[in-house]
Amino acid sequence: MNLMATFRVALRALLRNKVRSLLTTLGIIVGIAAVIAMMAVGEGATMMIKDQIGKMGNNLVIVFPGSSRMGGFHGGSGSQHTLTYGDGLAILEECPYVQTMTPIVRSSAQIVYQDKNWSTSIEGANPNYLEVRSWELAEGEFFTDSEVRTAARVAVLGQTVVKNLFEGEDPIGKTIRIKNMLFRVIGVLASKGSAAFGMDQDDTIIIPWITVRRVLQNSSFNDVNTLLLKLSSMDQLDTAKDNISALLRQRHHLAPEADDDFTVMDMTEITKTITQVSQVMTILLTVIASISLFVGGIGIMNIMLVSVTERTREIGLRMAVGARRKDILLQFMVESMVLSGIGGIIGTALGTTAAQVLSSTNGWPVLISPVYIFIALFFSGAVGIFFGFYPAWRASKLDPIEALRYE
Amino acid sequence: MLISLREITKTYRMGEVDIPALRGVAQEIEVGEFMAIMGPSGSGKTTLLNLLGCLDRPTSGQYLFEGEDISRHSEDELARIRNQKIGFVFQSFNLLSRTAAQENVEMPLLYGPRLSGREKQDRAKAMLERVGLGERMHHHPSQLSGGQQQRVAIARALINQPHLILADEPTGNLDTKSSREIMTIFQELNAEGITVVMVTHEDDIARYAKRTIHMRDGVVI
Repeated sequence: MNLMATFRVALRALLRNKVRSLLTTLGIIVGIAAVIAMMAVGEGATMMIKDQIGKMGNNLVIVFPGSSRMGGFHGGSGSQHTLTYGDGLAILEECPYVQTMTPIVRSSAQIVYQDKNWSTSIEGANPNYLEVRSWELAEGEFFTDSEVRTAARVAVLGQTVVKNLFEGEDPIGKTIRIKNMLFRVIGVLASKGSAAFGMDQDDTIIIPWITVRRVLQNSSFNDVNTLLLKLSSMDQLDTAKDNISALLRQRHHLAPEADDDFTVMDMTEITKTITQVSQVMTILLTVIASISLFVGGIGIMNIMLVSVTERTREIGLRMAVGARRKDILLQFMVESMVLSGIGGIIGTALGTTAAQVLSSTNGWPVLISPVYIFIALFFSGAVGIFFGFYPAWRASKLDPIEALRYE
Repeated sequence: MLISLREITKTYRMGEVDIPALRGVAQEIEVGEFMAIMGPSGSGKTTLLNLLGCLDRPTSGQYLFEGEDISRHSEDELARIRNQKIGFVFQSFNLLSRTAAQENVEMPLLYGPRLSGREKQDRAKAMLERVGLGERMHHHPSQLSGGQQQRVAIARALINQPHLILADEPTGNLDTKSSREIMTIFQELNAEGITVVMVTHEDDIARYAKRTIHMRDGVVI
């Protein structure tokens, strides 16, 4: 018994019950479509994250202060105030691969311009900020070293802030209020778009870091939240990180057995971590979508069992005219595989369409690779085999005499 | 000699109880015979027909079909014999519904040696013409009368040029006129050299056969 003929017989049998076959296939269509759409959205998100981190500058090294420890109590990362601007200067001076450096001091506040206000995050930095973050100004200028030293009240705004406070007005030279203190707007950053997980990078204000410390936070200390370092090349990443660690341990007078009171991270690590998180999300979404595929498979098994019972006499007859048990097994397996295979093809088409609709209506990045389509088709076939086997096996085990007599 | 049965017994197990259906049947069927098996229900005539048709194997005894010892054959070998050498005709026709007569007739070809679609069609057409249904090749069973349906079933039984036709109450669902037509076809086939064995409980029908055996309580009397 050849496969093409079996295939034709299966198709014929399925077409005898068009509505039933269609409804059964629908379960697989929905399952495959869901799996494809979820994989596409998840992988698209991963791609976008990688892309954006890449844009941020891959040769970036980030130093955080370490966690504080009092007795057995461990604070979170950054809970210690040990990292200072002086550390940053020393790294710049003594580590040959570090090209530029900016400290980051974070704060947040309500920004007021005339009758409008907007809550945003404030980053205190030094004039190297633009270079370190590979960012550009759209207009105006950035603050200078002397403005940092004198804690000048000047601000460079992100596009989101400009949009919400100025609504088309030219912000340069205007005066805004931060915590009831007057700041002059001297520049506007170019748009950078949203970062990983939808964080809007344009929703920010950059001001001199000493201004944040002295004026906004009323502090006389020079500790910073983060040091952002740009390396001259990625090749020496590990050496550079080792140099930085050694220098900081020395400056912080750490005993050889003491833990670091800082963390040095580079973008590849961060990329890896975020990518992993995103991939876990993708897997999770796909697993959830697979449940509907599983349910679709149960639908196939159910209908195939009904079909086997209904066609008991047909099975008996086929055996009487010479079908071997394996012919019967094959015939019903092919039937369930045709059901799930057609479901897989339609579901793939539907899933890709759904993914594209999602991406165009919500602006989500979506990645559809031929590999997913292959995987989806493979799985729909596998569902057909897995859920079709039991009914087909039952059919093949029928006794021809009993089956012929079945009413 | 087409068939030779030696001390055939068949016992069915129903739970704890053994039910003997055949208790020592010895019978020989020559090539070209037309034999009717008669007997009351429960006499074992259908069991005997199933054994002759290789749908079942005897519990003990020997069954020689064209000299081959069937009782030792595997299920797949039995399927091959059913496909190539035996044609079945049932009381309830057993045609696939919503399927054209021609396709119904072609069905056994699916399980035999590979043939092209053209060859299959030609053979099915020839068989339908032989039973007088050449004009109704594309009709579905629901569009055919009982007698016509049984003729489609006979065409199906003939498609692999079998040596033996087994018929289980072939006229049980038919009126007198159709019964006569069907029996005439069997006689014609028999005249062409095909051996026919038929189970019936109607004397009128048995009279078409050349030889009649009677069964009671699992033995031939």
